[in-house]
Amino acid sequence: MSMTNQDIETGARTPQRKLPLVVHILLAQAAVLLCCLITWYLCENVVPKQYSDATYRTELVMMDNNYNAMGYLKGEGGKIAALQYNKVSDVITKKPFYQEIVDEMGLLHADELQAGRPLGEQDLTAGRLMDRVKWGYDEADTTGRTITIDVTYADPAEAEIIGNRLAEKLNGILTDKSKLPGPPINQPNRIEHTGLIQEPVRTGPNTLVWVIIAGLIAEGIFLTMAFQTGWKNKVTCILMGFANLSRGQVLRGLLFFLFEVVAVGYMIGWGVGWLQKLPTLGTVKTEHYALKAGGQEIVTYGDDSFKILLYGVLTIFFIGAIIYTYYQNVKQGRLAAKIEARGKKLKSGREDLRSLVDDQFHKTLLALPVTGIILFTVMPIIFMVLVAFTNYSGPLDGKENLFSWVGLDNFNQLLTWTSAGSGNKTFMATFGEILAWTLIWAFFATFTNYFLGMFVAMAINKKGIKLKKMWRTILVMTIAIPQFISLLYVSKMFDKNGIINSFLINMGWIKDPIEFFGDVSRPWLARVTVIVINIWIGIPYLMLITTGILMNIPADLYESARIDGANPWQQYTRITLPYMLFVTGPYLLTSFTGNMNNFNVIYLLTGGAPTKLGAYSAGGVSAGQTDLLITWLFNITQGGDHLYYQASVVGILVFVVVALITLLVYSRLPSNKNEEDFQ
Amino acid sequence: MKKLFAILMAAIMALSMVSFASADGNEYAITIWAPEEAVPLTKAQVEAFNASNELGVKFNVTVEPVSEANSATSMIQDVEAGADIFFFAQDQFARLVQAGALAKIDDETAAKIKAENDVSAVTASTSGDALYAYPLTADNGYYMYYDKSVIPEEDVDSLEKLIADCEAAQKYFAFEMQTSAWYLASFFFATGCVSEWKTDDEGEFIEVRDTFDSPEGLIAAKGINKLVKSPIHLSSSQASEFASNAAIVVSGIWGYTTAKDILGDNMGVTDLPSFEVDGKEYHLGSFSGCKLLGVKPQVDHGKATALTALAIYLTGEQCQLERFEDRAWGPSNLAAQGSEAVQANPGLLALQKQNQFATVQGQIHGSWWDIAKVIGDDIKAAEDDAGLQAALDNYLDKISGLFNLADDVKYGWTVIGTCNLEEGFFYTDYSDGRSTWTDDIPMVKGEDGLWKTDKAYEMEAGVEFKVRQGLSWDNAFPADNFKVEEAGTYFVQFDEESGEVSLVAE
Amino acid sequence: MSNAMTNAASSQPKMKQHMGLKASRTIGNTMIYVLLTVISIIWLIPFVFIVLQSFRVESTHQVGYVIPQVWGLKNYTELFNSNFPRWYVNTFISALATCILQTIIVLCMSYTLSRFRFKMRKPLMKFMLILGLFPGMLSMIILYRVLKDLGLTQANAVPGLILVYVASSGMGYYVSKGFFDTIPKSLDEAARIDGANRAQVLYKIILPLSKPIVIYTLLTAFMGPWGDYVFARYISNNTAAGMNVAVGLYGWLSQDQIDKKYTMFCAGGVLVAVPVTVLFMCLQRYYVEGVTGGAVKG
Repeated sequence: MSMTNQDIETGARTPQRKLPLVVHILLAQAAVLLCCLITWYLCENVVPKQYSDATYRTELVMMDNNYNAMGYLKGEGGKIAALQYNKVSDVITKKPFYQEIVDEMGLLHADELQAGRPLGEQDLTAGRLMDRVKWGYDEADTTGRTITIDVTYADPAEAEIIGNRLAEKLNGILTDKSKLPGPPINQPNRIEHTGLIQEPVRTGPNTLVWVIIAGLIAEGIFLTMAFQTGWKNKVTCILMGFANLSRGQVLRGLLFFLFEVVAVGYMIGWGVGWLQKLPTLGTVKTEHYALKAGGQEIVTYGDDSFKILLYGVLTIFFIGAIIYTYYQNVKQGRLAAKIEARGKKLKSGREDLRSLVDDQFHKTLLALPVTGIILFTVMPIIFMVLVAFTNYSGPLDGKENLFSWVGLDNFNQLLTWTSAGSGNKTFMATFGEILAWTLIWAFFATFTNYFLGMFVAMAINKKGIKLKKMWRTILVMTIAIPQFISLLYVSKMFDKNGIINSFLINMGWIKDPIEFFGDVSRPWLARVTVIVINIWIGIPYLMLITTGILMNIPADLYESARIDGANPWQQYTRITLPYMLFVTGPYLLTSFTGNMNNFNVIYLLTGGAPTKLGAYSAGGVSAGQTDLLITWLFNITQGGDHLYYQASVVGILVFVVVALITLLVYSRLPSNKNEEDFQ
Repeated sequence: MKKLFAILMAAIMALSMVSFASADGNEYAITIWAPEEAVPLTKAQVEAFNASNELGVKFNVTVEPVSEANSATSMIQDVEAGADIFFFAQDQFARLVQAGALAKIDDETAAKIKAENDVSAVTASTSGDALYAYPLTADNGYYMYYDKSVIPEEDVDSLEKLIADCEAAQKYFAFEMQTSAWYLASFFFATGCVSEWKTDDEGEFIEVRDTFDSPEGLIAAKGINKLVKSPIHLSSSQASEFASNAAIVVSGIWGYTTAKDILGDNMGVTDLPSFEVDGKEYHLGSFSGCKLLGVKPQVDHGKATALTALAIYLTGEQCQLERFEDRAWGPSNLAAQGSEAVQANPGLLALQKQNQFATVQGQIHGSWWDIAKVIGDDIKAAEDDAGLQAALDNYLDKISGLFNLADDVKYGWTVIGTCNLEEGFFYTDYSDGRSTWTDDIPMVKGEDGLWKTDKAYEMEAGVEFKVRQGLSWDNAFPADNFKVEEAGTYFVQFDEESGEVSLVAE
Repeated sequence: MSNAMTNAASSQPKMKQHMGLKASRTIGNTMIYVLLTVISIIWLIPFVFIVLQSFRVESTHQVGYVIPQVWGLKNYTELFNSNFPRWYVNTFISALATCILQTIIVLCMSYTLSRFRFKMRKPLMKFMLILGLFPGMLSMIILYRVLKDLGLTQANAVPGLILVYVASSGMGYYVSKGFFDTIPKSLDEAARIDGANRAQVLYKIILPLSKPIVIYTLLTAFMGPWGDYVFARYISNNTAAGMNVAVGLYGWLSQDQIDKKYTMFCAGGVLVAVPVTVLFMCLQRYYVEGVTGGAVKG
């Protein structure tokens, strides 16, 4: 490498390195290694270690003639199946035994307290002690005589004491003739101590993970440093803003530095915590317990899966922002160095501020709106997409019951095309049906409004019609009235005993009332009614738009057409229509996609009714015949088991469909290509 | 742009801030969700509690008007932000327990509740072995209001006659069949179908015994068919339908005032009619349910205890009577039920008449309501009996898709003792290591309703055995083992109703 | 589009067809008048009914007829004894705040996208187009959570709602941008040559010319919160102090309350609809200009 490098374009000189690049890189590696060693040392020797609890097993071996006890404890089927945790505990907790055992725990606790042993120190009530006990069968003993009592506790010695006490108490109950009649016992039951079946396991901190993370971060920093030239730029890799500050750019430098302080503070204080919990989405459960057996219960809340997901994701984005800012910081250092080498002056703080209202004005203007969009639109969308990979739902709401990642399970489960055999259709079948209706609805809603609105506008616009303004005003007035009032009232009008039916019956046109929205055998009646009512909502708006455009069409076009002998229909199809379609093309597209997601009209009018028979039941919520994808989605989140993850899957599918349609059509619209022409 | 962007990212920090404030000492600030009509009364009652309670506790209460259905859904959506005390209807009980929105009631208070309130209300508040809610009313059932000027009194017992009367007068018969399973179930209960759910201590549903899809269910479906196919059928339970051309409305006590307002002296109140299929009459059943008061689990022990005291007060005899006088809510408190004023309300009288045929609502899985209400729609769309059967099969499929459906094994009775199934005898000497109390001898239910073993077994004197259900010890008779006095060959016979075990000589 | 058909042919005499043409035109016009009258009636009927129902005092539940038997103002006076005034004030405040803040944000956005050419411009517009295709329902849950942690739910629902309405409003730039596109760039250039910086260009030159679109944006932003049901309900979570009119009135239609509140609902609906409609009618001209000027051009 030559001593100075000449930049061919600008003729400037970049400052040269004193040592070759390779040496810098090697130095960086050395620094990284040092960091790793420091981290390793801290994890192993300085940070307090955490351990999980040990599990100690005591066994109660019952002899053959204790048959009543065995019968009582056998559970269902009369056989000794591979028992789950609950089976034996079921039996024990449902009988009067339970209270005795809990009382025994209380006594134990008191004893330990008096003896000054660790068990007594903790705020462990009898109820909480019982939570640490697992009852079961020793599967190895096929005669089923061995009951196992597993106690999970931090100190193995204490676990042994608890297990022993429980075994003795249980034995006492089972052999108590006054409680369990039976023949005399020939051989007493035996208590055996199996010992630790699970040693305490180190749970934290996980040295390897920390070392790797430290190594990666250090690698990033030091390697970047290696590639910088000049000591100012190197320092800025560690102390952000230094490059600017040392060159006199106080404003920028301070801002960068402030950001670093905030970022590091946040990451150490909160960020790391959230990230640690993100893979499991929380492990500490909410506990309900009473301070004494049968007393008033209170609750302590544990981890909140939702919060962990939310802040964990936010932290990841923040990390992205940190990396981006860091990159900017370094880049500015390099640019500044180049500018200096060229002999030019750097922008001062004042100049920066001035440019914000001038050539950088667009940044100033966009700052607030774009931030708002990112925080309140992009973030929620990303979040909800992630929910589709968890099992977040009503029963697993994250607080009382934690939820966790399930990967692609939801998609696998839902995206099945063939029915599993039950009477209901599969998810995809129902999705397909609703999608079909959504597309039909969007199509009709958009185009009926469009053409009918245009027609009304043309009618009003016609020469010779007086009171144009009055007609327009009447129609336009209905736009102002909030939809929830008008739609609710109209839906009541169409009730079986509502005004429309009374009117029709009184006029003698029908004999029996028509169920517009309730008749499951005539879903198309409801659908057509909805489209018709939507016309009522939509025409005024369309009329306004088309009026404006119609007035822009030069009148002499029509004149000459009429003189040439064209009848009104031909005038319409040859002049009006093409013009309108060209101008309103993008509007039609947005209107179409907007109608696909038109929640208000359907929800307030019908709520999705009538019910779709045999539809897929999403946690107890079935779909309706007039349901759009979006109202179906809403109902899934609101009713039944609140299966949010299913709603997310539906939302993602909806988005895919709508995006495809939009992208396909948008790029083909002629008006889009001519955007510049108007300027 | 880049710099501003970067700095504004720090704004995210603001999102990780959390702050809380809570009251101190013996004053607590709480929120109560009650239906709008009960709001002023509830406020007054809390004030009375503040003035009179022994704990020296004072509540600063905000009472929000929230309908009972909404309060349950909102609590489930966000427990922490929910009210400390809320009124709800029992059908959401299981979901509320599961969501951790109801605090378990301690034993002392639970004993008090059990002693003072009627059985159905206590069952409604129970999950597993513990109580989670305080009974508020026992009037959540339904019966029939009718317009005396249209419906003659002698017709009120027959569904067919009522339909004919309505058709003749061109007036509607409002009986909610399509949007709610609550009313629909009345037909199924009439023919003896059941839908029983079992939960464990945490409120998790473990199994269901459902017989809707059966010959009895088909009869019920035929009954429903008669009603929904008629053009004058209206699926609604609003008493205001009387003003919209209805002659009969099936509704509950909450519609009483409106019905009285509209019909005045023409208002008739009675229990539900019977319907007839294949010559047999079935009296419509109903759900008899309760409204409950729930208390949110608290973090602070003192506040929890104070809230328990308030809850007991609000659901005590005096407050329930006050609510009855003010709003005509039928009390669940036994003493209040016995008062004269309660006995005299015609709506409550009709409810009591109907309650003889009612099924206590008990614990039902939340999804059941959504699944069952489709039966009405299915039946309406069905063309013939096969269609009706298909509606029931559909229903059964959905239920079994969700839960473990109990099968006949769980409800059958067996004999167990010192017996050997293969060799066919009972013995007393098991010193040779024979296993005992391991074999279940099956029993069959006979025409007379009694269970009997399939064949007779040799028994020695001194043999002991028990009869148990579902291969589990939950239901076993007799309490002390049955001892055989004389040796012989016997059938074992068991009467389910009385729990009596006997031997029948061969 | 400008296939210019010249008026070369206009010199032909039209006298012969004049009489028949006039007759057919009159018939045509009469038919149109009839049509328009029918349409007007159909369009206005529901509102007329609602107004009529709001004056019915002989009963408070739903009935099958329209004309009240006993007229009175009780429904309106009852409104003031309920939570309705609180809801009204809440909605009014959120509408006002939203209208001002949203206008600022939308105008910033659309002006920038119209006037400036920067690297991220087209990608940004495409990005926002795609973002708009996501169903908004899903974000409701997490926004509720975020607002809850900030303390902006239930009783404090109003600031929370304003925050959410305003924050994402930048995505609705389309109409305004179309309007700005119609203002010639030469104005900008002339001003810059005279020494103004871009901020001054916006403030002193463009804004005065943009009165229609500003009023349009203010108007649509104001009208939004009055009808928002789903989101407002989620955020206010059953706390009457934080509800807006849509949630409150809808709550009166629930099964246990409808019998006593139906006519009050109609009265409340009228009180909500009237001011908004009157405002709309006064500013109608700008609304039309905005819609036709901006929505339909590229």
